[in-house]
Amino acid sequence: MGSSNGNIVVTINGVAANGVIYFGHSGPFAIIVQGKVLGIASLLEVGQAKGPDTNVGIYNIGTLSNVLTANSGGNILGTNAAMLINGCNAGLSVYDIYARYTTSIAQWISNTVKRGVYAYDVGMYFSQKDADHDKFFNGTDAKGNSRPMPNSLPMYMIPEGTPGQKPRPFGFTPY
Amino acid sequence: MKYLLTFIVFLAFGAIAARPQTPTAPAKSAKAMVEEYWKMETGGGRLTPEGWYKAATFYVHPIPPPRNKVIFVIHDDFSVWDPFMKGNTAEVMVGVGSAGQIDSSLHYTPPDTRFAKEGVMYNLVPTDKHWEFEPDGRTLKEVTGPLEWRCKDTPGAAIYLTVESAIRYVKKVRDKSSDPTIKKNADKTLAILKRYHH
Repeated sequence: MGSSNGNIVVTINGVAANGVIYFGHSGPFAIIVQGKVLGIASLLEVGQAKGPDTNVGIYNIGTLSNVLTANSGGNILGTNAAMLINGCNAGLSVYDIYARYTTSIAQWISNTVKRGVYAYDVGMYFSQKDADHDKFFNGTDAKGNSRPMPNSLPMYMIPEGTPGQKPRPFGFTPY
Repeated sequence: MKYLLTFIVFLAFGAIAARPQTPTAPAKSAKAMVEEYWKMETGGGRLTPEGWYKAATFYVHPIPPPRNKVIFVIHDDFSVWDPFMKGNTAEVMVGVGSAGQIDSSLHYTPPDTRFAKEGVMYNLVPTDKHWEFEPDGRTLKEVTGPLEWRCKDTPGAAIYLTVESAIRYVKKVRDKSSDPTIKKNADKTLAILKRYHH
């Protein structure tokens, strides 16, 4: 998934029968006036740069609807396909300044692509153990500093939470 | 008589055409105004009283320089977005990545990890009136001029600086200060900022 000339681009070879998995930044985007957080927008922060087309937000979600017709007029995502967002807080409901109600970018992606979306409502971090076996609560040490990233495989992106009881992603269905 | 009438009609049209036109839109776009402002702001333009007063023309209602400024340090790759129009107000967002805050004692606070990116919002309105400071730096007078986009938010104590500008600012305040706490904070802050500065 990326962005080009203001449009969101999902690059898929053939039909994605089983679904799409996203790894990357996401979560609340603070809107600041006079140094104070005035509002929040829920975003998928696809690109590292700071322009509007480096994100997928409610303000540009309409361009994602091209997946509905990319398969010879039909949805490029298979009937039983779903999308899993491995990114921080993409499923966290916030009062989104663009939607003007409480929602999440995961819900809006689901509404737009007409497929189920799974996303977490907590932060995420990298580990060499999967979510059921990792021994840490999050990606920081006792002093609150980030632990170094694993430098070999396997590597998992897992949700923050009590070891052995990590939260599962929430399921969002289109409406 | 026929020629005279034609001449009068010609003169009348000429007079209408020659009348000065009242501009209906500012010459410079709202986005261009914010781009210009941010170039000045992130380079440290509002750190001095002279720069603060000069920047006052960007605001509908400027205020005198605050005693305690809060420095918001940002990465160099900020982006001024196209405006969203709401009636006659242009909402212009500047997408930024935070590199922390510095208070008036040069104490550094790391960025809020809840947000990977942030947007600084300006609400601009077209107006031919604004307030300018008198030479005393306190008294304001209303000035009428060309129609321009101006920010209707009050400036506040927040100042946005790139990492490079923040390093310059911290060094300058440290070197001028005799307060050991400020000097100690400055050295710690500089060590952190230099890690951000590639």
